[in-house]
Amino acid sequence: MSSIPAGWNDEVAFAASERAYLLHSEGRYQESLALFEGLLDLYPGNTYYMDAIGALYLALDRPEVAAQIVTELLRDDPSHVQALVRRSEAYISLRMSHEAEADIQQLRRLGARDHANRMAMRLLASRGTGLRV
Amino acid sequence: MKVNNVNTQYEIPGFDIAPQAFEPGEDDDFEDAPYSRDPGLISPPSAGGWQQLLGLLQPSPTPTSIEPPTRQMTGRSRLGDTASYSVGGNPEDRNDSQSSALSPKVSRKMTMLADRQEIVVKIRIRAAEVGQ
Repeated sequence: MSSIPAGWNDEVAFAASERAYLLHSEGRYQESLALFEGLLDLYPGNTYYMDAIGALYLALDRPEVAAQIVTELLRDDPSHVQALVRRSEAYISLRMSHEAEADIQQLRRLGARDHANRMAMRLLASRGTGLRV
Repeated sequence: MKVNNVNTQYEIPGFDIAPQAFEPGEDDDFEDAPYSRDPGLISPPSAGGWQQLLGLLQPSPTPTSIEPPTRQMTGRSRLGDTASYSVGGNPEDRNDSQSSALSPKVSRKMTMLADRQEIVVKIRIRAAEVGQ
């Protein structure tokens, strides 16, 4: 476990998480990312923080970093639907169609049809335009 | 009788304005008033309640959206450890050597939280001053 600041406890962690979430909701992605990354340093492997960081890197147009962190998350939890959605989105942005297709198939196997269909449409759109979506 | 005026009651702190009294027989004579037979614009809430109305029960609409945190999600590492057991000493005892042990990411986060806390304290002080 990382070094913990004095006075830190689970309630403070929750309050900091809420703050980070609100910053994300307000579109203040860099600030939100700073909080979530600090929280992940304190709680290594926390799936909520990893997932949120993946979303933030996508929002900040850094799909390669997003793909890395959600891949790490999926190693621990291969059925994490939201992580699969984020990684397929990252792969689509990186024009890694085969990898995106594999994640979409995995979403279907997990029963997440709405997510799978939406990402399949995005993949299709990216192929049709030849541009990043 | 046709009613063309609307009574509005305002609540102003420090003032007690009594509602305007009706003339005898006036209060039940609204048959010809505009909108007196309006069925109302408010429809009953849907079965899912306020959470559905706000879209909180819907799946995340985009790959960049996240769910709000819960206490079960936060404050836990992969192995389920909580941080509270490794906190040593009193918050007042923080010193430079302890701060330097923190990783850059944690230090940055703590700085942001401290800045925010400072703003919150200032707002509370200001609100207390105005309230007096």
